[in-house]
Amino acid sequence: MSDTWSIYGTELQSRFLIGSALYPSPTIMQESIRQSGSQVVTLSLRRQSPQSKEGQAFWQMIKDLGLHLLPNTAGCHTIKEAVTLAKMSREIFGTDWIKLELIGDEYNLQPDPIELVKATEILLNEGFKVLPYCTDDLVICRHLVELGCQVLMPWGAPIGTGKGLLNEYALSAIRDRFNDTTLIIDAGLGVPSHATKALELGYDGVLLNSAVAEAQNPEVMAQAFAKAIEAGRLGYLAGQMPEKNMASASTPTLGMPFWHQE
Amino acid sequence: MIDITVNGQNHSVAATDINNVAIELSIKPPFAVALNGDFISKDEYHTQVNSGDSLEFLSPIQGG
Repeated sequence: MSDTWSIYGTELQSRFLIGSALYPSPTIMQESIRQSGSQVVTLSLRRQSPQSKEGQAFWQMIKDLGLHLLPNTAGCHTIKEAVTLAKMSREIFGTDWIKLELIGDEYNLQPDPIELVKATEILLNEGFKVLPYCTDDLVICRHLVELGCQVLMPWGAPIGTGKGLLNEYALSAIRDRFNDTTLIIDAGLGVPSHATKALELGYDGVLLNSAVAEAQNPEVMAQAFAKAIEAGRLGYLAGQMPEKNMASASTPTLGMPFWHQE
Repeated sequence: MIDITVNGQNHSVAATDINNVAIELSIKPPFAVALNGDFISKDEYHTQVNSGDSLEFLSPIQGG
């Protein structure tokens, strides 16, 4: 069954977007990303250490994977920082995709919704294809869609917490309201069943990093998430049975044995 | 010599444009550049650098 989706017109088969950070080693990173079957990998830009050649080695390993690159603006706290970093990323990575992160609070790394909307508008006007990392606030999502975002990336939970989908109601509402928008759960997932749930809710994909990179065995966890995402998607397509409050026997009652006839 | 900040560290350099700052400080590609917080594209690396300026040379790293 052909079941593709797209990010700003780029058709994809895998619904798993994976991060490149926090792995125990570069080799494990590369193998985990391969095992995930992902077609999109996230990465970033930082100051170069003159003494270190790790940055160049990392960049070569990522290029060798041959995937779509999704640079982020992680760590940015102001619109100017995010816009400048986005422009630098576009040049060096050769893509106009940008995972726009604009942090509003250090405690939970929650996106600043107001500044996010302003930065999104600037970047869209500059020709970027913005994938905003946002909260599960329906109205903020509406503003982002009205600006022209074709993709939204609400959080499941704060980055790196592994808590799963903290507010399924809010996430479902976003799905229901924006049928034509590509929706990706970004951040907060911990175990494969969290990803399954996201796809069962009708989300188009998930983006995660820590849950794989910090697993005891990242390569195997990458496979587990890939299968969980596929299961969730198939479950969504198959359609859930109506939920009921009262039990309903699945075995036919016609022809029950003698003891019920007394 | 001019006194500038490169990636948060103070430097005195003889170079007077971005391209030559990178060469003088042995900054290896790939990198992207910001001058005083504003993006500078590759074809603008002849941009003059003045004393007190702040340059950022950023390279690819892991990210989530």
